[in-house]
Amino acid sequence: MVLEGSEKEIVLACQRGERDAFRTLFETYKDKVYSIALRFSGDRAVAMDIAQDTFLKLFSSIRDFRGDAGFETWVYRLVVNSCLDHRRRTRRLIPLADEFLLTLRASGDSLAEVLRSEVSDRVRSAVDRLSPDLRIAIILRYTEGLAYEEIAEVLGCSPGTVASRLNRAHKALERRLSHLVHHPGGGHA
Amino acid sequence: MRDWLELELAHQLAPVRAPGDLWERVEKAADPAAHKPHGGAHVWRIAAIIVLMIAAGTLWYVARGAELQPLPRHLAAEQVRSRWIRQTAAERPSQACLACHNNL
Repeated sequence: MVLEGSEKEIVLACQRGERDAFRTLFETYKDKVYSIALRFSGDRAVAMDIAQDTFLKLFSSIRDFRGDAGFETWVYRLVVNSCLDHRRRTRRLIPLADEFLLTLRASGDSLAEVLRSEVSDRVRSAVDRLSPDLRIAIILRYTEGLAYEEIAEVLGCSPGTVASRLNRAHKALERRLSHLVHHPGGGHA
Repeated sequence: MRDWLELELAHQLAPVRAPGDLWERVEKAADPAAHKPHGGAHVWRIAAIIVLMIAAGTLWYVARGAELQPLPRHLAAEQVRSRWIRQTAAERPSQACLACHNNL
């Protein structure tokens, strides 16, 4: 995650206020930013808000980027902060909204479709129920495929803390999803 | 369990493509004034209303001031004379005609 070559030129052009450079930077990072936002929030509309917020912050503060950290790390920090900010703003509404959406989804689909997507829904729901700190570590690991050191740089903590958070998240997910795993003794638990 | 979980997480949390209208949203949010229709017209309309209100207020103030000013000297004298004629006619009817016809 080092700023070099054409990316460095693009960032410099953005710092000079060149409109085309902003568009190029957006095209480079839009999928990463949106993926993290969607996996963190579990909702497309919320993910759009988070992604929009992240790019606005990116464009307004790119003059402050000095290249001390990698540019990609800097972008990841922005999107992680936007996710956590959004979570803090809507903390009280999310559980109710989630339940309401789950009810709507279940009542609108046929039983076969609900069964087919059961595992998918349960895994996502289990991830959604992790605390924000654990969830963002899991998302950076599995959505972006970052190494422990890279996650640590984004989150501003040590690789040991990242390992601990991922370990706690794995244990919580195993506990919540153990009934979905086929045991040798027979069928699903 | 851990292998299954890691595979499932990698599958369920896989990256996705951003929607096509994200750039449009970001652009609009970054520059709301450029996308607001007739933004300048509103300002001019409000300015015109304020100017009209100030003009109306000034006219009203000037008109009110004119009403409150003392009567011109010749009108005041005429008023005194009329009052004197009425008073004389009431108190000394025989001399009342002199008030108006003393030059005859």
